[in-house]
Amino acid sequence: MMASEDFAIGEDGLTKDGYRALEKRARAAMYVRSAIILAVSLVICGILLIFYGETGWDRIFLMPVPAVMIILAAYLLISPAIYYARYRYRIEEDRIDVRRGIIFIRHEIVPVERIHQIEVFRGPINNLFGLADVTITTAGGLAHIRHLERGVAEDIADSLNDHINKILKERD
Amino acid sequence: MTEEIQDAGGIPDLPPDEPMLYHWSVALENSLYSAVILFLTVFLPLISMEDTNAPMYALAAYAGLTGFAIYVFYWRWRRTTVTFRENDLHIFRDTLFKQDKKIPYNRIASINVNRGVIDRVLGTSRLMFNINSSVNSVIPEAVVTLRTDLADKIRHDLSRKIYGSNLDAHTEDNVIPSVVSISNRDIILHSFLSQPTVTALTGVFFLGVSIYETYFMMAGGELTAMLILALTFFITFGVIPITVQLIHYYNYKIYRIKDTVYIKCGMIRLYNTSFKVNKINAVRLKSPFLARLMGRSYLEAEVVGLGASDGNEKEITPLMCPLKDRRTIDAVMSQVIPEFVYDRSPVKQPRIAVRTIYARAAVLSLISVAGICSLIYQAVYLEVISSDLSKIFYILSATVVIVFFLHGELSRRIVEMDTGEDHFSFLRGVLDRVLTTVAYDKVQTVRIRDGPLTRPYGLATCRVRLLTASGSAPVVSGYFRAKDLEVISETVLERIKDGRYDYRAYL
Repeated sequence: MMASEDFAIGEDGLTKDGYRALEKRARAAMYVRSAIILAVSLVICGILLIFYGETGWDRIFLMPVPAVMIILAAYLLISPAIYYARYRYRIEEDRIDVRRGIIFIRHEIVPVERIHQIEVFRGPINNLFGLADVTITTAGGLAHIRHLERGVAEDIADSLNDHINKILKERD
Repeated sequence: MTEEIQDAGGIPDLPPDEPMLYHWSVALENSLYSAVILFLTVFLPLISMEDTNAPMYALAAYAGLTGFAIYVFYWRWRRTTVTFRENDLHIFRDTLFKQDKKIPYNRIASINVNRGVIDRVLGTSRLMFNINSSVNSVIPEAVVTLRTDLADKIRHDLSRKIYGSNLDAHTEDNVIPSVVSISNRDIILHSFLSQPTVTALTGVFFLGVSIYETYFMMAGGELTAMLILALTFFITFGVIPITVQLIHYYNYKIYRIKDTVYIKCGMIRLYNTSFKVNKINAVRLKSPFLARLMGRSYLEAEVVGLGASDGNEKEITPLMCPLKDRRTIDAVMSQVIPEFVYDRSPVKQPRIAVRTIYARAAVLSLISVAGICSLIYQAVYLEVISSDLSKIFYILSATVVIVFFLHGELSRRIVEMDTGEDHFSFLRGVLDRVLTTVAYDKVQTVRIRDGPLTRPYGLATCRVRLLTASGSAPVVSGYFRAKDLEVISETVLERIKDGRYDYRAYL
């Protein structure tokens, strides 16, 4: 578990434990994603309200709707900044270590030895900002390092692939 | 199709390196299934049309489509061959969708036999070959239907090659006794008492409603929608789960030869499951509430590469011992899977976890009471219940708060974890308890999570993902100090680094 000072980035671009932060444009990409989710939610909410109006039911049941929408909008507005500030990753010889989260902070550790496959994926939003996600496949499921600068993502994938191939060759 | 290809339906000995056809029962079984499906989806809808010629159209369409299906299945059967070669299994299908599959024997994790009703009538067996899974292997890599004697011979020849077993089919089936004595009475008890308590209570509740509604109907009332609904739920939550368990595990037998575990069971369909011990990722000792009151538990294993062609989950997590007393369970553990026996010195959740547990209970209570009250208000508004009756429901909703806090308090006393040298374990559950023992070497990823209710106290929960047969099977801990949970990931990494983890041991 990390205290808030543990997330602080030093002059070398690393935390005191050697974790890296994301590029600033990753935060912009997160905001765009949030804006899209908010717009879609508002449209769905509007459709539901119109439908509800047709039923003629008591308006008291509509009371939670604005509250939920305000909470959702606040969350989508604030969450990219927090997610960005708390997103830290570290790639070592034996492990991939990712810390992320907004309300709940998850610390995920993937032993390099367990990796089966590495994939670099770019969605339309990431593409817009020159970013990419690295998806790590293990026999127990997937792990991700998200919103990396495209070159960094390719380098990570290449180095991990080389490492996995080296392990497999040693076994042969 | 060349002349050299032999029909496996008539050859008792394994022809080495020669392609052979599956038993013709494959084509028959597929044709029968198609005939039934077409009857329901084509014949019945057409015949119920308001047209004087409807029966003729229905019959013509049904006969035409069924005939076509039979021809396709026959054609597919004639053009599909299997060859048991020196080092691999080769399946070749020369149809519209061509298939050329080679499965090296050293990649095979298990070879299981499955015999359905049609197989038993025609004297055939389905051999299911499962490989070591990459992400999952719910469906077997290959299913080959052959005459039972030939299938048994192939299974034993390959078992000898893969596992080093020197026993023939006859010796194995008739001489080797089960490690522990499991009678069919035990299986009946297991079927009833191994159900999760919530499922059992739901079944009993709907049985009660069904009886009440039936009594009301017999006293001069009418058949109500409530009776149909209650009976449906009773069958779903009560009858079906019990019957499935009973039919699947009847005539249960378990034994181990060298490094291979064999499980045989089944009332209608016979299941012969075998897997190497090194394919077991975790074992789960489960004790549902009622069974625990009787001092009984049952044992399941999480095994890689045990796909079942009929999607039967019971074959993916094989039962290592049905509901028995702890002494019998320990006997199975020490004789069948001694690799998972270790001296546990578990730790309970730290005292400070009580704050997290109660805070969580308070949040859940608040959400639940708000939800229930809103439903009651809605019901009164729509005149489903009277205003007077609603007051009783409002008071009853308060019991939810008691349930959450009681559950929290009990879980604080029960939940524990243990980190041994080769294995770690988590005990969870209040009514139904599950002790999961996991081998460090099977851990794929470790995720430690802390949130607003745990972070202030330095607590977290841990989710471990394993190499699985059923997709994803996470193992989750209770609330423990984050540092204690990090021991798991550190041990996994240390074992890889210092060589205690040897990949060759799991091939």
